[in-house]
Amino acid sequence: MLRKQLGFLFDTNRCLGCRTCITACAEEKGLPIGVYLRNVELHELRKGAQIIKYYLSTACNHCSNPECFRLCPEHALRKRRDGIVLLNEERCTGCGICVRGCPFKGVAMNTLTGKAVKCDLCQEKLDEKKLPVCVAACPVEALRLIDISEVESRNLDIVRRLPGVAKIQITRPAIRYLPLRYGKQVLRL
Amino acid sequence: MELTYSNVCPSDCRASCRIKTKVRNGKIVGIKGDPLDEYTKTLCVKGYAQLNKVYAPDRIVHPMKQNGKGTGRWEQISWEQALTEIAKKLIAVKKRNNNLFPVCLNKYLGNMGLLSKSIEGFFNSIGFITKMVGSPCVATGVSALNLSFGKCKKPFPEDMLNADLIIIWGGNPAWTTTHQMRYIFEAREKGAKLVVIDPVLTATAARSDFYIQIKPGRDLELALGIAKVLLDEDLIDRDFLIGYSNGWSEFKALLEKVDLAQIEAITDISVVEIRNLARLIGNSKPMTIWLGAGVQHTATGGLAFRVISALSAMTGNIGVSGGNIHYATFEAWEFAGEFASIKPAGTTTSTENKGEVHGHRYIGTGRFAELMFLEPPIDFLWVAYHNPVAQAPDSNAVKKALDSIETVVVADQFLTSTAELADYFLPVASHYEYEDIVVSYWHYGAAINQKAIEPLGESRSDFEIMRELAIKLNKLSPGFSSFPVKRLASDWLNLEMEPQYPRLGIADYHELIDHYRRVDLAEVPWQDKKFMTPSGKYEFPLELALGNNDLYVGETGIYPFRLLRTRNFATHNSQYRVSVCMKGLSEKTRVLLHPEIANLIGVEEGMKVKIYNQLNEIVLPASLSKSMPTDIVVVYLGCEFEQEFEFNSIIALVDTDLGEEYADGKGLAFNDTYVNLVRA
Repeated sequence: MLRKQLGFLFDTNRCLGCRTCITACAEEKGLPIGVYLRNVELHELRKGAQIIKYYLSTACNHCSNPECFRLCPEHALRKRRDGIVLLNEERCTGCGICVRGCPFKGVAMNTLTGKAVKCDLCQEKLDEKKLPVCVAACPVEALRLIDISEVESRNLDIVRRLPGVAKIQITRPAIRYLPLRYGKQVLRL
Repeated sequence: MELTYSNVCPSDCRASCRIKTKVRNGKIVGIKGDPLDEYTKTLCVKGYAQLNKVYAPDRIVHPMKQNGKGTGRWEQISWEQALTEIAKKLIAVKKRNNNLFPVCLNKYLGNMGLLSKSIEGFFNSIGFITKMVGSPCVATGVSALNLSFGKCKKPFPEDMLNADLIIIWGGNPAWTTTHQMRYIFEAREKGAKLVVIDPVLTATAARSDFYIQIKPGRDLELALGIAKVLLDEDLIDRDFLIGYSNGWSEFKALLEKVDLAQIEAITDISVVEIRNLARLIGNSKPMTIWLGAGVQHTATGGLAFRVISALSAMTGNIGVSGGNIHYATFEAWEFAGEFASIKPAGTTTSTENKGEVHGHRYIGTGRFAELMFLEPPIDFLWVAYHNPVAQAPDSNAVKKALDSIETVVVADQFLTSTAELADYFLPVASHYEYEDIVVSYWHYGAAINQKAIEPLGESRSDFEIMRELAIKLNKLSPGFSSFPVKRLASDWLNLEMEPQYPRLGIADYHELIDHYRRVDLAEVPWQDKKFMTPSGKYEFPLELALGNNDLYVGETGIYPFRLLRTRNFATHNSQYRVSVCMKGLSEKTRVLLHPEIANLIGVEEGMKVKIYNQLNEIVLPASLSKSMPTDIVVVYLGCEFEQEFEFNSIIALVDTDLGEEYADGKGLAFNDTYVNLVRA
């Protein structure tokens, strides 16, 4: 059996781009104003006459092979047995190498403490069998918590990348997507 | 010690979310959606940011006086000084004029709590004044639906789950009513189709099964085209039309004259696609329509609402589960009359009659320029829960009006662009700082705001401000105000809520702390098909005569681009604009335009664009979007703003076609603004 790897399953067909996940997380973590652990990006691309438009919400992808882990000179990062990548604030000196080095913008600088800060998948909540805050706060269940290895073994209809998003697989990010669907568009004559 | 309180967001929003507030040592440490709330359960992006808004460094918590409007020379003063000076001004106005018409109240929808009505209550208690009334938004839509149905009613929001076809016309619930999207997605999973009709590919439109990119302001014509096809292809419900409607034969005669080729030319939607859409509407049952604010902010918005709702009537989708029109209803509020029934001291009108005595002078909301030409002129203006400089059309006209008025009082939490032109700033407590009740106009849930923390600094609830001002006035001039100052806030809440208790199934409003209660309106309106029009039937819009000037009006603007101002995910009108709580999340105000247009005027992403028309010119960074039509530019309302000018300074004051049936004036066609662009 594959090793457990918790991560996100993201449904682009549901995400509203409403950013509730971002502020719900910031509120839970008590982050200073303007510091967020999640990021929502708009993607717009043309496909023939149609316009594909969707939002992508990402935080730390809890990679199997985390770049932050490799870069941190203080060895402040570690990976739990369930795959969660954790940052030890006591070891962090705030050098910002991980903030700049993460290919997913998954690490932020906490302006209050001067140290790096990142998503910990709400590990304390998980230990209490509760959902991470972003997952619970999403009004349309666009974000789900999954065990990547378990989901992949079940061969569900999920994909590793979305149209218009750079393919970065070297760190083996623990995020999967439901394939993007789009309806018929009648654009103006 | 940690305590948890029940709160509710008082914004002018469909959701009216219940909040669970955690307080430690007198300070809020956490806010969450209340799982008791059957409609919302979770908060929205703005809801979770409220914690930062309460404790925002830019919140003002002391009374202030400005030495010279707009000078920024503010000094902190005591409540005693503020209320004494304001009371003396009011007394002087009355002495000078023998009446209080020079006193003007501009209160709007920044807080939907019941106690906010104490502001009107106070002004009713001192005499007949000048009131700015009505609504730039719902006046048009409610009037239209009142004319068609006799009353504006709607189904429970959850009834959308029963629809086979959901049409969202001119609305973007993905950003304005996020919770509703849960029901829309659930309906789709059960097989329903989602159609979105909008000039821009919104976040909602991007998730639809069928998106129609309509030319803005052409909703009426598209609806007529669809109606024409429904008639031609016999996709109509004769039982409803014969039994329960009035004016069908005239409307039918009108439709027979509609030329689809002409509709295609006007709406930019091909006849083929109009037919496809009409067939989908005619063959899906039940079909429901969400009428959005985009339609009602155009010059023909009222008639458009009537003809769009006629599509529901023609296809027999009125009064059935999963059908009807999802717009708004104020039936859940048809009770709160205590503050409104306060009569000025010495008025002889019978106190038996509830409701406001009509002796005031009324001015339509947003029409600030009119204030400068009144006789007697306005000497005193009180602004509450409103930032008209940012929100009303033609900001410069609003500023000029504020500048011309001797005394301007603004009660708010932040130094808004309106407050910058005030003489007095009165700091208002947030909804976590006093007890109040909010009733949702969308899901009819009634919820309580418990006092979770003490008011910050010296801030006070509006109710306390008005009560203290009444006490001060009567001390300086006995009998000036009839405001019942001995009544406490809790007494008022009980009085306002008492008629509502049986409808909510409670005996005391404190029961709302632990219970979700909904006002007992029907889940599905009009099931008996007994409409509240004079005829008792559904009324087709007969004022339409194809070919006359009201229909097929040409573009009114002399400038080439139509400017649409729409809501952003992180904004609620201007309510989050001055606070830093959305920092880094709500982008700075930008102008969205198609790359071709940007290329034409020689700008790239982020470069500055001058946007101008007959009113003013403003400069904004460009944001290029492939999904924008080439004759439209979009600016999100209420985003971060650093410039000296106001965005609304280029928004023209244009009347919509309806409004008086519901409010005392027409609505405002914000979306009938035209501009030109050059590289700045």
